[in-house]
Amino acid sequence: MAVLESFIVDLHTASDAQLAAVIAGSVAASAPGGATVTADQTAAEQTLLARLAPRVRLYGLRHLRDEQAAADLVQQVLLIVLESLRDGRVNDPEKLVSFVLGTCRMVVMDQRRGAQRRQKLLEKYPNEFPTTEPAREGPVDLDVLERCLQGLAERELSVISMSYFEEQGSAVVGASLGLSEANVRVIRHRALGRLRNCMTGGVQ
Amino acid sequence: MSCASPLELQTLADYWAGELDPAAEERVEEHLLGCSDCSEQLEWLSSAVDGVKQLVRGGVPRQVLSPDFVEQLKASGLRAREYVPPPGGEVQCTIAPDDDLLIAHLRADLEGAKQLDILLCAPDGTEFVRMPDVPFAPSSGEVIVNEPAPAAKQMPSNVLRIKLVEPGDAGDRLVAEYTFDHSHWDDSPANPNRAPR
Repeated sequence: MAVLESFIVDLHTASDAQLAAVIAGSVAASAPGGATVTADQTAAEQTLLARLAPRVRLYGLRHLRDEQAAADLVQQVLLIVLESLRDGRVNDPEKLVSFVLGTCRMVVMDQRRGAQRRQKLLEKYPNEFPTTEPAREGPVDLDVLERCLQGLAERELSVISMSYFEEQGSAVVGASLGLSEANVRVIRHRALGRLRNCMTGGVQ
Repeated sequence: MSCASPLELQTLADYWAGELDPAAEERVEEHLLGCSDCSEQLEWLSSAVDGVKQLVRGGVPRQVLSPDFVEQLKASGLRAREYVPPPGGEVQCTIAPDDDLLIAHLRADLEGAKQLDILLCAPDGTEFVRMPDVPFAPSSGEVIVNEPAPAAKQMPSNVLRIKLVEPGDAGDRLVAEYTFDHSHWDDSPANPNRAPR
């Protein structure tokens, strides 16, 4: 088996595309019949996956609105991305992000279909499956958040609470508060900016 | 931040709320999947939103609620203790240990009011909290206020006066006022296990 050459890449400063190129390039340079995973390839894979994981998790939270489902998404997407890079199926490392986005969409669709199937089963057998919600300790200090929320203007506080408790759209929130949709969005943006400044001490 | 074209908080907020058009959402997602800096900003937003949900679920913020929001809160499983004092009148109130929300429906003629402030006052009228420029629908005939439940549960028996006022150049115009005779749960007639006197 051919010995792979080492690629001199600073993993800390390498872009995602460079890391993908290292992974794909390492594989392409291997001898026919099998690829040897080198230390450089492994390090590049670990670095790339560590970067992608939180980003994919956020995509999952946005589309699935469930922490556990988002965690499942991360696992599935990263496995597919890693396999695809190793198999040389990502032709252009510069297009890695587009590939990841497409993979996220595909897996989310699969998860939703699976969720629909599970929901039908749960409705058919309501007492057989205990449900538990994974506990998640967010990084936000609730005492600080509470203090900062109380520092908002009354309209800002109402808009923020109503927008995010049940994820109501601006039109619905506006109708409830006697505000226009555009007004709600302006108030929401202003409130979030003030919250961020308050919670970060003005350092961003 | 090293991102050459950082996404604005406004854009991230719209994205998180699902209020971007499909093309803009795709651009934002492609950027986020390739940018740690902007993803960290979105992570902050996501965590803050989760924190808000937790606080609202705990009945913590003192805030004005819409009728629909009250129903949503109750539909989500939260237990609400609600009071509807008559304008100019008084109500006996309390909050039980397993209540999640303490809500006051302040009914008044709001037609024509341009702005409303809510004042929380001591029995002698001394104002100790002002909630300025609260959102309200004039035709609704009421302003609904959530009083922080955790603090209310600790509060000893006392009397609270709440005033709805319309601020103006000549001072506050009183729209309506209400008296809440609050009893700690241990002392409340509503407590079936209250120690006999």
